[in-house]
Amino acid sequence: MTSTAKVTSSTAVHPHHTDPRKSGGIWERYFHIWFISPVVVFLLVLTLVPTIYLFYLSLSRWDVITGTPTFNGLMNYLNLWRDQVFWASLRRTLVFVSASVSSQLILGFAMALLINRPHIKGIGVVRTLIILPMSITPIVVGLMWRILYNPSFGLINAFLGLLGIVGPEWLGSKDTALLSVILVDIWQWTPFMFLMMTAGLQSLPAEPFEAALVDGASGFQILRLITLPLMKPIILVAVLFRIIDGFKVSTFDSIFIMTKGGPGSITQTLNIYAFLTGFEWFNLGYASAMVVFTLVLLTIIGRLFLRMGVFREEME
Amino acid sequence: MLRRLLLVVLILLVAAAPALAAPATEANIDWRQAEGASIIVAMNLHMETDELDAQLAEFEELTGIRVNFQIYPEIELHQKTLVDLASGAGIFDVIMMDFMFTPQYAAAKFIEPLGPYLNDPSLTDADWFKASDFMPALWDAVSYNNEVYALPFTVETTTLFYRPDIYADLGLAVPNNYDELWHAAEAIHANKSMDAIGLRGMRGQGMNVYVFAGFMRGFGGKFVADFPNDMTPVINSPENIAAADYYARILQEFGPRGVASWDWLEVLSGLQEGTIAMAIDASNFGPVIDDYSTSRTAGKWGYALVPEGPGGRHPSIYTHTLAINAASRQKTAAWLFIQWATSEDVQIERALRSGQPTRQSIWDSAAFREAMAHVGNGQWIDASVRSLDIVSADYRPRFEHWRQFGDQVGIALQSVIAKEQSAESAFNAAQKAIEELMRSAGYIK
Repeated sequence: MTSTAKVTSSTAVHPHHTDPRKSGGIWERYFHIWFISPVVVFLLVLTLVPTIYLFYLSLSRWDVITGTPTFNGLMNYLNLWRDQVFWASLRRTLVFVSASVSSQLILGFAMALLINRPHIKGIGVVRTLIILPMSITPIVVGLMWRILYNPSFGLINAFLGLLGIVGPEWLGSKDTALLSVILVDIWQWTPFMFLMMTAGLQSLPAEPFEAALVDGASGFQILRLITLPLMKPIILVAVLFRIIDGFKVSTFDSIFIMTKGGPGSITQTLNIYAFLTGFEWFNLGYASAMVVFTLVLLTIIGRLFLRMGVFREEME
Repeated sequence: MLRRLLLVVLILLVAAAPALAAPATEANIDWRQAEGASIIVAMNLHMETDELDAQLAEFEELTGIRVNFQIYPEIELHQKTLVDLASGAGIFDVIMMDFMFTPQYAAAKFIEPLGPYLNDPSLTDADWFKASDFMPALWDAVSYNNEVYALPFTVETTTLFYRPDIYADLGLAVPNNYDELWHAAEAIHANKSMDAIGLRGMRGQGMNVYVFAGFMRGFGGKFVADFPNDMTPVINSPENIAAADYYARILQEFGPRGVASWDWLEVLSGLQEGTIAMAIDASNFGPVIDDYSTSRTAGKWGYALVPEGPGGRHPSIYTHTLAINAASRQKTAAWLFIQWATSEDVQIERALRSGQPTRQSIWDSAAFREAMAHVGNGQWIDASVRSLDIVSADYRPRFEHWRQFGDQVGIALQSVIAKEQSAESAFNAAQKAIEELMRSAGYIK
């Protein structure tokens, strides 16, 4: 129906021409494809080619001795399976990501609920201040916190000292190093959760809340039975974003600046291990296998989130 | 009479010659043979880089070659250059390279062997360039399988930094061995409200291992059974474990809190701020901490050789070098540049300010000694010269897989300093991991 209408209208506008899609050469028949092809080629070159090359590298030996990549099948993956350092790094990454993302969600959501009122004076300034940490480069964050954490002249222990508390060694101690780097991530990325949750809360319809109030529901009941279910898709998207980012960025940049994975291997995440293997020890094939593993793992996590209903509307 | 006068003048001139290095214009080569070329040089964010940067106009005028410096912080420099070298793109013509990379990059044919350049009279005037003037340990440091792969650009060694005022106060003598070092640290810790000693705790073959290797060798320990003939790792030897235990305990008992994560920057600022009374670290901190414009403790420092142990005295060696990318398309221009930058006349100009020349003649020259005399009242130059006399290029063994080997030692050592495990269990674990590495890389069966 629609297409007939189009054809009719085009004939009406250009009475002396026939429809270009029905006659003429390749150019005329597929002109819409030609138009988008530069972008498609560009994207392919930029994303698909490196990814395929990465898969190829993960099946190759490329180290100091070989100089160039040589195919060696699944050797890298077999080595990964046996590599205890790899599994320990993966465990640490999972601890890091789950601890930091869950804290960010709870804190960010709580802050959003607190501030989600229409008429508070100066709320704009507060919001701006809250999202400030997010806009700082991770490298700078790492350097800043390294100084803050310094047990001798850092601000944190200086404050604790005023209260009569002898502060811990933070990054330098086996007991507090992992906690310290997680705290930095929470500090930097809670604002992201706050932003997402604020946006979500403001987009919720008012009717269910009004109805609940009329029915005499308590604040907690409203939160549990109305707000959370309505917010579920947004929460899932925000958490998925943070998990992906946590695997990619949070477990590398600032940690690398603050501890390089130490003391010992206490803060050595998968990213740090892959970086060391690839760029410091120049074993690019093996490092690629680690990266492919992470990619697959993240894809699986992403699928799980989709099933849990990130795109509920589309699926219904 | 006139003849005698002439003779005296001549003798004086000959005697003064070593101090007056010949300028580049006197080299018997055609400096303008690559005129119009333009080279890209990847440099480390480093004091010496700034000094060389300031001299570039001179080179461009001499040769007609344009030089573009791309300056990166150390870690970024390694990444950028590795990507360029491994891909063979040839973006950088010259790279400033950590000398410990030489075996790795040479084996992978990433960098150009320099023998053909040094021996070609149209490219190098051997009498003017005087390659034999580079300190012998540095020449070893840039060689791999009897071929030279880079030219030494900076130099440093480890020395003991101490405070003569505090030593005098407590009646301490400058420590000559590790027992005396312990005793001094203990006395300072007991009597002064400052940390007695600061050493690098941060893991890494170029971090804690760089300083620790001197302790380890001093205690009689080794990295491998007999380098380079028998590469069996001997990391968990009793000597190595004793050295690790000593290194960790002297820091735990008399050092600053959080020292397990200290890298050289924290050591340097500890010295500048006067929060630590002693350190063993890079000699080139000397001119910085004794500089009144950058240091609160300027004028208070004494310098001595690192302590001696049953295994002898082992100061470190380090050099940033200039190497030519094998994939460069401007190799002649690149060679002219690194030759010029490391030549005597050009180096001495920088050395008077930065204090890290790589040529023996400069260390021996009156001008350089005078320029550095204010650092520890001449103690610095004395300790540096005597240390550089006894250093070995294989202070940290140079072979293709050293970095992974050394990093494993660094991880073990840091976990001992952070009290995560005992020296014995950490070094046993490191031994196992390193054996695995050496086996898979084919060094041992």
